[in-house]
Amino acid sequence: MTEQKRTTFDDYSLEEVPSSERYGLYNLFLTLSAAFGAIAVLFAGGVLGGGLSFTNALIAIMAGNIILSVIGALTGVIGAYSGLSTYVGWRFPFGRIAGKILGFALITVTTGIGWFAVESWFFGVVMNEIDPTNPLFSVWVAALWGGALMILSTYIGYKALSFLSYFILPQHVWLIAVGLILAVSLHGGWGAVWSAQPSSSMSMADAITAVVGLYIAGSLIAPDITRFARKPSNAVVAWVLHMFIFYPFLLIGAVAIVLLAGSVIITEDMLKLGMGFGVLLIIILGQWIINTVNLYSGSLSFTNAIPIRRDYSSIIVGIIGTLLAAYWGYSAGASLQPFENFITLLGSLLPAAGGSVFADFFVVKPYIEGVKNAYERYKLIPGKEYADLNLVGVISFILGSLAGLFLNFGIAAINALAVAFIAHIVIAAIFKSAGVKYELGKYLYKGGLEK
Amino acid sequence: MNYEKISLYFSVMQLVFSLILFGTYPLNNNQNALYHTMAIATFMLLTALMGIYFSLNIQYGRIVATAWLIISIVTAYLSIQVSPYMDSSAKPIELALATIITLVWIANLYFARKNGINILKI
Repeated sequence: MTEQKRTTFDDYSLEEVPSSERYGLYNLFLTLSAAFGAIAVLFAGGVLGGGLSFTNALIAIMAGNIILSVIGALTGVIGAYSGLSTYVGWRFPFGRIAGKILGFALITVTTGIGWFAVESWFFGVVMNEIDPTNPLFSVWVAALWGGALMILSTYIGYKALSFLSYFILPQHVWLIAVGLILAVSLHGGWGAVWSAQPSSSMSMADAITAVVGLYIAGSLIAPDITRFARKPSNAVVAWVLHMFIFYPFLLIGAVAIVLLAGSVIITEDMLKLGMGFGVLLIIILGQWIINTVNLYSGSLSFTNAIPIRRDYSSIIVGIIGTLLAAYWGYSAGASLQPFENFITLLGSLLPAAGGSVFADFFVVKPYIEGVKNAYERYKLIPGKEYADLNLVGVISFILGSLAGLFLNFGIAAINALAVAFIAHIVIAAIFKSAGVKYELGKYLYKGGLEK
Repeated sequence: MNYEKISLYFSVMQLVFSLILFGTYPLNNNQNALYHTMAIATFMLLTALMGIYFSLNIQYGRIVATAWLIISIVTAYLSIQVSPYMDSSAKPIELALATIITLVWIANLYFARKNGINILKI
């Protein structure tokens, strides 16, 4: 591992993060919370509050949280052990070529371009609502400068991400706490929260699926952040802490506010409560950091597919997303829905990849291939040869994806993850015992951006 | 002057401010304003004590982290002053003290940087 500090903002995109560049528990906790939680969680809490009583919402949130805590802690600890981004880590269970394709299809296209564009467009919409007469605040112009702002913070990388989180996370917590206290005191106290009836109905299974579905992608790409953890235990503790302190606080706060104030759009309710500028702050800063994370993961996966510096790839991917957002803004949101459906479908394949990674790191590597030391399982050593294609990972990913798409019971994401996990172990064991070679092709890892 | 001494002075100043805020508590004429005063006063008290503890133990990283936390929360606090639910005679005092505290901790970060402490890595 190189201990040399870099002057660029590449953020060790294709290699292990050196120990001198890693961060402690507090930093990780703030960055994970602000990056993966924040505004989307508030809106999801609003939706739960529209369909469930407070008690049922609490049960759904806790059940979903337990699932997400386990998944995020497992992926997070892989990132901390290896120091590699999610997609570079995928070179082990899937091989380099399949890892590049999966990373590009499941993250660059969906998160990096797709959701980045949708959020930038939405940023333009919010700005336009604030001042409809100002040409700088028209949807497409605001999408352009908003996108540029987000590209700038992504260009800098993890440093900017964690810096933004120092600001944004405590603010969100404070604003939600104030909204919650206001809603409770204005609408009849906590008794009213417990007895409030939702405006529509939602089944418990749907609610748990919503809680898990909202965050499972974030849980599975946690190594993009946790590779900066000083110790693997920091990654696990930070993940579990934010899942059991921050995430439920935002969800429960949003549920209570929605149940008491009436609209499922949480920001509307907070406006009703008289929190004018505070709500604006939540929306603007929330979108900024969420989109920085979207583009950050997109740039990492893009760099994994096409080896150029990560800061450069953030500009390339960001410009595509921003132009798409500006186009939607210019054409009044035309063609947005089919595109959203497409990236949602692609995103639903991600849990299958997660299942294969878990099986490979926690079972196949230590018990079938005999790599007991967790630090050595996903270690890229310059000058060493690695596989171009891992058949076990590819087959189990396909099986997991099919399960996620076509099984009609349970939670689709968990089905995909579980099937891929089991398939990966079973196929690896069969291939190994039959003496079938499942790692095909070889490439020489030269370290960093030298490929 | 040493950074830890500057931080200690700032933290003690904040401690005094938080006690003043607790003193303004009875001036609030509605429940929401009262909750708000209690929340900001408690936050200021706790972070002032944290600041004093970290300064006495010369823990630069934690002082900087506390500074960012205070700036973030106080900014959020200031951002919802427009709310009609926050109207009370205690609010101008709160607003003034919170603004001073924000400026004080921004200055603290400046001194940290001047002393060669990395204020962006906590």
